[in-house]
Amino acid sequence: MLLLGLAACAASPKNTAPAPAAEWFTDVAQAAGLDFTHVNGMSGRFYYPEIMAPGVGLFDYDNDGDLDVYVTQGHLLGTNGPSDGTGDRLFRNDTVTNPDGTHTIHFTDVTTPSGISLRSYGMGIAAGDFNNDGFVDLYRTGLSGAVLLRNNGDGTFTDVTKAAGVGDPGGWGVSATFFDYDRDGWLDLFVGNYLIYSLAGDVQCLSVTGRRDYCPPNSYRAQPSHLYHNRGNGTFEDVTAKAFVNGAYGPALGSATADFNNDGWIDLYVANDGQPNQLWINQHDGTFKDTAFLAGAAVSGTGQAEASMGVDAGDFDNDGDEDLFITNWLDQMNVLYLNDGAGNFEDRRAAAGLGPPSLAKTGFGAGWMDFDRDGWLDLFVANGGVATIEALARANDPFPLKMTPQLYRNLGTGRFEDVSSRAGAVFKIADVGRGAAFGDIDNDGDTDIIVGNTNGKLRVLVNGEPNRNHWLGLRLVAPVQRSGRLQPADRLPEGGRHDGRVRDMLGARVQIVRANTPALWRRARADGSYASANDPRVLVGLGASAETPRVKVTWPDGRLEEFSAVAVDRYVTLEEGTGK
Amino acid sequence: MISGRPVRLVALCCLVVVFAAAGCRRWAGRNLLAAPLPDLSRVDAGVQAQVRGRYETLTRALSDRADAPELASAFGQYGMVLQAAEFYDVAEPCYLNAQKLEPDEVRWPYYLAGLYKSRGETDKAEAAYKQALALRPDDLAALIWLGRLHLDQGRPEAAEPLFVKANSLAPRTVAALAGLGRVAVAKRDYPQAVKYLEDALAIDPEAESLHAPLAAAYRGLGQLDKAQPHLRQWRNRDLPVPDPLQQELDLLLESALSYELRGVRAFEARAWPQAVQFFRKGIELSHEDTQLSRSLHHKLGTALYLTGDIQGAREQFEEVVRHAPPGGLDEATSKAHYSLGVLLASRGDTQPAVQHLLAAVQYQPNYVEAHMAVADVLRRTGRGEASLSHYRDAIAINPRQNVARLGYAMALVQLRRYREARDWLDESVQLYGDRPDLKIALARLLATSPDAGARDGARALSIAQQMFDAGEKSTALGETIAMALAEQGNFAQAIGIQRDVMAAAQRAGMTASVQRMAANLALYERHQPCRAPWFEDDLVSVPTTAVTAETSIPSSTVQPH
Repeated sequence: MLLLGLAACAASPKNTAPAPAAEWFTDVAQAAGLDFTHVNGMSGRFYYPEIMAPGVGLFDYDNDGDLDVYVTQGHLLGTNGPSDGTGDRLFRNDTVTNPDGTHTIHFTDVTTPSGISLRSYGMGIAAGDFNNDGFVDLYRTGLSGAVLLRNNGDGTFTDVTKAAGVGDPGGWGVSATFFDYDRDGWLDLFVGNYLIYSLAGDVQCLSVTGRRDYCPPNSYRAQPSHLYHNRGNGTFEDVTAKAFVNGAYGPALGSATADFNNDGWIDLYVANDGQPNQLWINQHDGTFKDTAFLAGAAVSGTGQAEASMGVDAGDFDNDGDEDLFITNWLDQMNVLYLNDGAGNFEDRRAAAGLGPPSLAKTGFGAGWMDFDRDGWLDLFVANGGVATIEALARANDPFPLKMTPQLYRNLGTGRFEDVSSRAGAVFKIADVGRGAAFGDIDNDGDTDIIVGNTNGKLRVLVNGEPNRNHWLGLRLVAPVQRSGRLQPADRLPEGGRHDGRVRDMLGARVQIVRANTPALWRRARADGSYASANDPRVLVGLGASAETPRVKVTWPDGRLEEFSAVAVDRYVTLEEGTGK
Repeated sequence: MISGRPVRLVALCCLVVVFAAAGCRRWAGRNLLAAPLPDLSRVDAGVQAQVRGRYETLTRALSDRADAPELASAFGQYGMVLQAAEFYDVAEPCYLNAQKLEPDEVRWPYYLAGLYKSRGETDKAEAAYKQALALRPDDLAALIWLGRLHLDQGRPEAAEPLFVKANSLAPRTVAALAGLGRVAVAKRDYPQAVKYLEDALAIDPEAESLHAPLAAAYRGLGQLDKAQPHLRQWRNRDLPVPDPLQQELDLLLESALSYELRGVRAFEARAWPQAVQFFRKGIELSHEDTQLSRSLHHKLGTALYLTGDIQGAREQFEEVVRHAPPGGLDEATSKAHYSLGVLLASRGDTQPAVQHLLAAVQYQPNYVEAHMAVADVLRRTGRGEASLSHYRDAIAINPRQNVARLGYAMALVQLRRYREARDWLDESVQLYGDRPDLKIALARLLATSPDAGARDGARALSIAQQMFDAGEKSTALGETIAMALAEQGNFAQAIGIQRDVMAAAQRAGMTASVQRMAANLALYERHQPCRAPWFEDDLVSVPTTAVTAETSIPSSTVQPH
């Protein structure tokens, strides 16, 4: 013991630890010019909206082939509005490819020249070309109503909310999703509304020890969501009551669209906070039927409604159907619903190893992504609390809700491994994580992530995971005809040409077929996660095989085309009507 | 050169420094972890006093060199109040010390397990539950909690023997049966899952959340016809585990909010007198003129009402209203006005009832029950026009508020706007086709409308017949069929059916309904059709009592972490 004591008193010997391995993910926000800090408006009153935003968006607004960034902003609550310097931001991607093939990631704040001046309390963002002019538009949800920003194609946007009829007046919208549910070639819009809320009616909640804290969602009543049908003339019709049999109720947070029952028609899954989730199965006639309960995707395996914030659909087990991952409050664990191919689900969170690592976390934005390109979809989760974490409060953290994000690697066996500790220093940084958007920011063939943090800095996690796996990047598009008025994307006549403008075919599914490896299924989507918009391109990890695959595309209207010998390790555009 | 003695002194100093740095205290040869008093500045005064009191007991025990059991108890009691107040990092060393001092006491590893579970440290929680079970192998709660933990870890094979043992020790424990059901589902043994979950529901029909996994099990067997009815019965309910130790922890804190929570739990257990006691205690601890105080008074009023003390209830509601903020929104005030409105309306004091209900809506504009109640009172007292806006408000707040749709139709009928009522019910049925009450209302109106332009006996009979053929069996539907038959001139059949319906109602004890049905029977016997789809003062729905509103929107509470 004496020796041990003396050893404790002696100086430590020199440590020659080996150099650290390359980080899988690195936060480049500051270096890249994405210097954004969210303002949640906290003032000590614990207003409920302080803990819900922001959403983030990845989309190519200027059609220059790289992803730009949009972030919603809040403001001080209980005042008349923000002071100068706040408001939503649009950042243009000016990434440069260096002569040695590396990339210098750089963004420029182009909010002012874009004409976007949104200073109300923002929540989330959805991206989609609603008017089929070849330029991606934005739908921005907020605490009291939403805004539709039409992309003018010249770097500017115009607020067309009123004319379009999608303002969601008085609505507290969080997630929204553009999808063509009736296969008419026009993107319709689902808006997930959360709670009936006003600052004047804010409920004061206490913890069991009597301190002020944020309320649980059941302190307020849910606000019904909306489905807007695109008329094809720049306007929408609210078809909620007609389309959602038996009504649509919130409190909706996350939404994701996919063909869950493999009948060729796109369906909608809505994650409701503290209430049963909804699986709206497309009835092919303009209506949807909620089958979540019967399908086993409404509540937990024990029969309890869970928090349900973020949601994403993806074929994690490569069996050809869309499974669901939903983030939850701590104590509840995140959920993995395994699809049997017919739209029935089984709660497999425990069997997949996703349960215990999430027990002490509250998850929000989340997404399926193949970060190591081995052909198996992995998971990223942005975590952040919704009530005071006592240990942080005692350490005088001014916003003591912080948690670290997580990365789960798909082992290809139906199980996942929490690899956060190996994923990079950014995974040790605790934030109040909310929106997460997934996309290839530097176009190097792997998925990057941007994370919006409540009252915190935007994080840009660039993927540098060292692997030599091959990949396939697909942009699935259809040509846009323009003859003085808006028209749907018609099939081109034989030998026909178009003017070069295209739109992303959200909801299109691809099957990657190779001779010596199992097939993979992915889909083009911009929705999913939490209040965020994702890169609509399909990025497929191919593992070690460099074999050029055949790609079978099922377009949103159900038509099937095949493209052979699609080049790997690069982005390829597949245009509807040009395959076999 | 350093002599031998100073070297030993330096070494001893190092040792002391090392152990002091590790936060240990030496007492009677045992090393104990530090258990300091945390920063209590953010905690209610009552809880502060509790924590300080137990800390003082601990420090006294330490300084008095109390024996091991007494010191263990002091550490453990201190740990408990810290855990209840969510000071987990300080509670942990207390339990570890208590466990060291009193290794045969099951409470300490048991509470540690719960603490680790709260922090998501499942491996440690598992180890601690196993320690508890080693000390008390038949501890029902520990068996169930560890079983659930294993299920969360994806280890049904480890969970099963624990639930089997729990079930054998206490065969009617729903939590144990539900656990076995979950194990069976995880193993995809659906017949077994059905058996366990059906047994659980038979024991406790209010364990309504189990309808969901039971439906999933039936679905797994391909028996969708059996799955569907269970889904309709699902409600979001926690499945309690019989756990006296945890309950002791849950009820430990001396704070107004803690007593409010206890009272709400007593509500859920339908223990009204106990709820009264808890709310009274909470009021004692709360500060006047706070939202919490108002909430407690209102909950006390509700509990008194349920014990039959109507006067006592009314006094509590009036107390809330007396201390209401002058304006703005306030949930407790809104509920108190609603409760007073419902009480007064039930006594026929319509005017003051309406005033209170309108005040309820003022303090909480999205209070759908209050909108419904005021709409119904207005309609039933002949003020149909005034009721319409309140029914519309209820529907705007909650589009699925089908009773509001029905009430709106009844108001239109009262105002003799029969075609408008028919069109309204037509649209409602299209939107909510699975609501039998809306279909019945439409059929009745079609059968009995005084306005021939809104009348269609054949369609009425068709709707009613379809419902009957689909399995809908109710006196309301039977009456409607009789109305439709009479409208079509088929009085003989109408009389037969009306008599059958009256007999069924009589058997069910619906005396008031039987008397009303007799009036229609008399019409049919005179070969006259009915021209009133319902009676003017028919209730659309029974006004929810305050307790229903209570459990749907808890106030002044936060989900414990």
